[in-house]
Amino acid sequence: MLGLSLIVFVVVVAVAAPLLAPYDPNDQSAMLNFGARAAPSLLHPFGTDRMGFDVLSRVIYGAPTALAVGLGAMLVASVIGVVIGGLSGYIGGLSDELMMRFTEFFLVIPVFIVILAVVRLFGIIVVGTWAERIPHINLMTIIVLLGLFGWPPIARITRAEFLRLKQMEFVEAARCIGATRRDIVVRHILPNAMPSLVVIIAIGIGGAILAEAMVSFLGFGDPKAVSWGQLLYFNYESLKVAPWASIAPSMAIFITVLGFNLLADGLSDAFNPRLKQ
Amino acid sequence: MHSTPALSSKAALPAEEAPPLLKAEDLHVHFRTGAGIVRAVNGIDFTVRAKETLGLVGESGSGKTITSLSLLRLVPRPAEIAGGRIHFNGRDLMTLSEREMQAVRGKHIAMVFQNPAYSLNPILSVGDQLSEIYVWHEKVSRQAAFDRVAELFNLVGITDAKTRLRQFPHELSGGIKQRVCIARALLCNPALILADEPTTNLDVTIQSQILDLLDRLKHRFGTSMVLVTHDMGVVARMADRIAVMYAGRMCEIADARTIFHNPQHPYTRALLTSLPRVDRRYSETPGERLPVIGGRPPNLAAPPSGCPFHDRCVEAEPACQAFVPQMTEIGPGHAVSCLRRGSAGIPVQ
Amino acid sequence: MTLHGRDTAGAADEILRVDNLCKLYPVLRRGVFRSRQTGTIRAVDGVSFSVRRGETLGLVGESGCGKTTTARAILHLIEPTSGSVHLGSTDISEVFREGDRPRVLAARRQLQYIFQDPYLSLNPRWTIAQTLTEPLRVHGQLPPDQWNKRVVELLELVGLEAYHAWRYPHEFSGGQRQRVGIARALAVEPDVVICDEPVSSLDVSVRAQILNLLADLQASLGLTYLYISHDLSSVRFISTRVAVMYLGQIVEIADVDTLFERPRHHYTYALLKAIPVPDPDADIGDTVLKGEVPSAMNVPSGCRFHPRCPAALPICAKVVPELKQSSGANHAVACHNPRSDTAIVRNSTGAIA
Repeated sequence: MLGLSLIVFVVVVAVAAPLLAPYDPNDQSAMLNFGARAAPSLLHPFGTDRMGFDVLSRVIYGAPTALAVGLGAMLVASVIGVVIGGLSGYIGGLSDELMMRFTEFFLVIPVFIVILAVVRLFGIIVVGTWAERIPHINLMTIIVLLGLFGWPPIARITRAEFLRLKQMEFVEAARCIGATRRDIVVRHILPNAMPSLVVIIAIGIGGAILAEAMVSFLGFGDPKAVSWGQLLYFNYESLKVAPWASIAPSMAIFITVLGFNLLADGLSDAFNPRLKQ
Repeated sequence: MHSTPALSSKAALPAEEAPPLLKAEDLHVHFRTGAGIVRAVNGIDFTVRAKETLGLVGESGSGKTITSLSLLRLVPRPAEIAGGRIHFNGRDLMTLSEREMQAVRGKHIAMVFQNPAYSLNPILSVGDQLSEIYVWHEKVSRQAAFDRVAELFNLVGITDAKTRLRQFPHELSGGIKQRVCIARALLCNPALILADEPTTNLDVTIQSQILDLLDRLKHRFGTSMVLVTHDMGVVARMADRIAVMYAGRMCEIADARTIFHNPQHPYTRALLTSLPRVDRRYSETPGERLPVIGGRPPNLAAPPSGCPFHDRCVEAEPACQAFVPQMTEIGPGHAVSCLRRGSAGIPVQ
Repeated sequence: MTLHGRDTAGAADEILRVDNLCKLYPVLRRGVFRSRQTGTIRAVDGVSFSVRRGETLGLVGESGCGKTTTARAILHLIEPTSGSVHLGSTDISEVFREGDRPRVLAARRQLQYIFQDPYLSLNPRWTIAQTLTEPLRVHGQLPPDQWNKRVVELLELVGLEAYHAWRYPHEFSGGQRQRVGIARALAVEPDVVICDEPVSSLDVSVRAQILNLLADLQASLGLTYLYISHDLSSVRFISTRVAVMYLGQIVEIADVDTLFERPRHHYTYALLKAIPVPDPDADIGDTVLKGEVPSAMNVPSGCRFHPRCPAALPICAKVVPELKQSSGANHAVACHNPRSDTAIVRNSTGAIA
């Protein structure tokens, strides 16, 4: 499974970032001898960027950020999506109707513009307040926002699965036995909906990482966090002079997002009982 | 049309003289799976004579459906025809190109499926989809094709054919849909119709109507039919000859009357006796139980060695495990594969 | 009140009584703001019958006749529109509606269900042990340390073995899964078991095994069955009495032999005649019944069977026939012009002549 190996690689890099990275991500000492935009060399395998940072170190330290964004955003999105989709599918009727319209409303909002606006506004509001002292407050805002706007696909899949499963005979059998609604949802329906949910969440993680990269690339990222999108933002202007500074983070984004998408494919195959036999 | 049993069409058929229309020899179909090769059809021979109905009887996993699909070379992936010859109208269908095969399908050999709802295209009106087939095979104008479809609709008992032509499958009931499928099979006057459980999804009263219809059409056009079914009642009513399959092999083949009145293979016997009968007073013998076939249906991925039925067979002897019985003729037109009935056996490697 | 085809003398030991059960579905046409009701599907329309302790009542009919809906309404898997269901002396339709948990559980313990499709009725992610402990856990009648013992007991009761408990449904054949389904229903020691087509999705060679098992269990545990099926031969084997449904109503109810040998309703007769007999010499002649079952959305006036009935009178289109006792004490039929009360003639092959 290529997808899984890519993800494992990224996770290992993220966890071992301080050990693997040759320099501190905020170390600009290269400016003193190599200078900015230095071509790859033994001491700086991926070269340095226009601010004199070591590109390899920045890319390595970008991995934990990317994973935090992907997993964090999807955690928020999954909780909202599963609750809304689950209630909608299980209860049905008018509440289903209302919740699905609500979901569709979220699907038609131009999410990106809203995120940019909120991030900027929030960045201004927190200045000078206690909230400013919370580490990575801007990054967390982005994560929460991506989650808040990323749940509709999960809700729709959850609803479809709940609708399908609640009519299955084994669920009716549980009702005949006298199992409570909570039992039925938690013990019968949710575990059987899991395969589809895990697949859509894996795709969503890739999507969230890409979205954060885009937000950062547009200059709305967290200035204190090391992120691949931000690397691109700082270096795309010198693309012709120092392509390495842009290519390295691009490849990192590519590998990670591809990894999660392949993982989703692999998972949907793995969960398909027909292919198992 | 049916007066006395003795004069019914089955008796009148000159079974022996009729030349075979289709002859399948040593047919093998394999499923390639991760766990190895599953032999869904494992060396089957049979003939279908002109104007006769051959009943192919067996339970799920016996290979009866795959056998009928393989006659059209339509086995679904991951199955593939691993060997054998299918002689039809003087040609070996196995040697034809895919393009030549397409010209055979629907024109010379047509198919009626178990589930009419799945075998009709939901987004085309039934008139459109049937006439399309006719235009493709016969190269006639669309109007001529529509006329032909309307004619067949009348023939299969669909009233108000002109309106029905414009209707979509979802507007039709299950019985009417199956009539449409039968009309589709008859479009090009095929020599052979393969009917795979054509009435299994229908209610008994509708089933009875459809069986009447198939019977009538068969006599009118002299079409041969291979009827795949698990229902002994249906096959008794329709078939001239019956082949019983178990675990991808043939157990017994004979004319219908022999199968029902003088079955030789223990599996055929068990099949016939294990079903409750509507004309018996079970209430008078409260402790009475049905005769059963013990054990469980065969697992094709790990079939029993020797005779595939030996582990459920009441007459099994040690040899049944060591030898694979071969189809052996024990009477005129009656062949059986059972060591206890004198069949030849091939030692298990 | 009419007699519901129930034997007044035997009313004392009746264990399940269904009175005037209805399940109607509104047909809605969805508008932008509100939906309009454009029709009603009368899935079950005034069904009454009773089942006596220890007997098997067969409920037969073609697809769409409402037999499964009746079962699901009795079990409150769907809420009946009206009517009542008495289990012993308790009105369980009321118990389910009120939802008082101890009383609901008590009712569930008495009344269990065996499903049609053993491939769908077991949770695919649970071992057999998990599936069989669920009723024990829900009802809490047994301390947890005895659950394993009980699971093994149940498996043996249905002809499986202890080691099967640790397997998953996909490792079993259809017949074995249906045995597990039966074991689950028996886990709470019910009095009444509703069997909904328990053998129709099984292979021919396995059907007899399951039918025998059901008969054995009935004999040893004193169970009462409501056996729902479209397969008349299995109904003949297992039932003591049989009710025939057509378009949401019971048209005839009688002792099994009476119904199979002297049917009085023309629909029952047509059903019996349509069964293909496993004998090539059988000659069942032409199909009696023309046309198809009308939609339950616009049922025919009067007797619902009259448009297809070979013996329809003018009155049949106007007046709904009541289900009333015919000659025999245990025979009720809803027909204005019933068949004469003579045995149907079968030839040597078993086909109706």
